[in-house]
Amino acid sequence: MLPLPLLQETADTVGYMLFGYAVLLGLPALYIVSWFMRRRNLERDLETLETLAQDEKKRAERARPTNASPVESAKPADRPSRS
Amino acid sequence: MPKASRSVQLLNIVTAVLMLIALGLVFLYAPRERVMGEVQRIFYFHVPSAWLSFTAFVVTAVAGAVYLRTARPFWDQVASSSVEIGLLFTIMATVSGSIWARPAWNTWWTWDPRLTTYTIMALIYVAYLMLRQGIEDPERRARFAAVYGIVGVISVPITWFSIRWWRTIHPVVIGSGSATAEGGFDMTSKMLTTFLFANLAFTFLYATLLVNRVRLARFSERVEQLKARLLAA
Repeated sequence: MLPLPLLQETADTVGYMLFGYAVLLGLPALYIVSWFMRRRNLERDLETLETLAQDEKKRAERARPTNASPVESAKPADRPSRS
Repeated sequence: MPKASRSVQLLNIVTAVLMLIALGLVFLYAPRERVMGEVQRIFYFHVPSAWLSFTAFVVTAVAGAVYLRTARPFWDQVASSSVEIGLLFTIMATVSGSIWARPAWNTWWTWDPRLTTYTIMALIYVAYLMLRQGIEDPERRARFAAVYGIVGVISVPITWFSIRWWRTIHPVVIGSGSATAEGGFDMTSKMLTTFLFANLAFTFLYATLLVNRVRLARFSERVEQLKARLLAA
């Protein structure tokens, strides 16, 4: 008499296997794609922030009286009086 | 984002090659299981997914403990990245297991002790990510998450041993020869080779994902710091 496993017919489960591997390979692939999207968004944010930081720096430089003439930068007491 | 270092690039390539070899072994080398047929091949990727989900959550707890000791943000990034990857593996293992269960158990889902404890473990780590989202201050967020990660890891051994502690229909794969294991099964040498190789490839996959995810987290931190500096100015 044949052992029991040899008498059993092999089930046709190809569809389940394909479905399983679609999930097992598809999920990590989607996850990695989500990284690329997050990275792209962060790079855009960084670009915007760096532009803002540069604008801020330029504005601060303009506000600082570094190029003022000696007469302008002199104290009021040092300036010659008009009278 | 800074370019990946040579060692990271090498790790990415090695992992891709190992995964391709693992797929080749699964579909071309491992024999077809006599009773279940082709669906049994899911097992070669299902078990490593589950195994690495446990590993990822243990890594989170260890990184959390190191963070509490050193207060270095890098360890917080490792912990949170590992949770994210652990959840990915958890979903992969759950969904692939459910697909295998349909022809094997004649149901997509059953509230078996292993499936139930695994679901609870997944929810614990979903809550970890929600907790992080809810705290603004980075230091406070890292500290709370570290403590949560250390407490949450208790769910890992409970899930692991659930198939030995309670009556279950889930097969015992690792340590199936022990007296407490029910539903153990044998593998042919080709099946065992494929199974062990798939575990190795998945371990590399986890390491690769973690390294790259931490890089992304560091880049994100840099952007956040610049944003905070501009707001403060």
